[in-house]
Amino acid sequence: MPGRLSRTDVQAALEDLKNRTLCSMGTEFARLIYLASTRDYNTGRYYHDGLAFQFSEEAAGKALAEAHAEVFRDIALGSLENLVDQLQLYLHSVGADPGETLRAWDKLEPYRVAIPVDSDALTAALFSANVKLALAIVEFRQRSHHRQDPQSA
Amino acid sequence: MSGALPFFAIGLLLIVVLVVWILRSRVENRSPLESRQDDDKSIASFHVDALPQRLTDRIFGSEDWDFVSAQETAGLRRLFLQQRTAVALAWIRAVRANATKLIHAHLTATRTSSQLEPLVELRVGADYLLFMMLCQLIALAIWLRGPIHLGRLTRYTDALSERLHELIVRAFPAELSSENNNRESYTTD
Repeated sequence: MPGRLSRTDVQAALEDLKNRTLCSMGTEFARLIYLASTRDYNTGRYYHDGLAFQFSEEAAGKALAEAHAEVFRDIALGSLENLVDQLQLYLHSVGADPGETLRAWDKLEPYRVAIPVDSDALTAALFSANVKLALAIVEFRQRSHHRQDPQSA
Repeated sequence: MSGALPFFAIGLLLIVVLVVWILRSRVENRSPLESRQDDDKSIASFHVDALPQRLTDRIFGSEDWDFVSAQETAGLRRLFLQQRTAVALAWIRAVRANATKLIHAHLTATRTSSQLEPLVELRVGADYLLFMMLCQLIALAIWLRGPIHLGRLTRYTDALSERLHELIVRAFPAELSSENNNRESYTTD
């Protein structure tokens, strides 16, 4: 029912989301991409069928938005070294050729859609700058790895 | 030089009194409706978004720079400085915009206040001036040598901004302050 959303419902939905879905993902970066993907880019609303069925659509939406903001803040304000490690793991986990994924990420900048709508402009700018740097570092590591071991290419 | 100091202080005080008198005479000439609308506008914009300390420390800290330096490529170091400089300059713009918003809200409030304290106004003015000068200094330092190792200066700027905020909130006329609280509680409902 609209307007009957309680903090307890949202908290319960958030706990459920963390314990059942997010904890199975290896890295914070994977969680960020997943949470951003539950958002409708036209309306900015978050959807999760299972969570909405168990709680309510409103509670599920709010829990997803809160989890997204929390994960984003942790990544954006965390160290660059941590981001590089996470990005490297994430790019290897997507299944495609890491070199191809790197090039696509560099050109299309899909990480920009991972920014929550309510995040402040400065944190968003720091996040984008850090991902750009992390991509360059991962690419550099990959190139030096290939130089040392040409057969792995 | 030290003999001229009292005259300088008196001169500054006279300027403040003159500015306050001009502002108040302008307010008295406005219609009550016009005055009311302006107050509402200033109160609505009074909410100042303080930037988290963690964000400031990340932008101006040396941890990320140490990590990039260890990668041993000039290209990465260059890219890091280029990216971080842009973010650091955006930080300067954000803190400056926050302070300006605060001062505008304060000026709007003082125009209608009947209990002005010239000494407090003088302190607010001096703090604001010092804050703006610090921002210029940080911007210059960023342009000259990048944003790394400016942590102490930015923390001081943050503290000064906080002091300015406290000073203004304390000097804020009670009736506007309570109106501001009402408005905030209304919007957060």
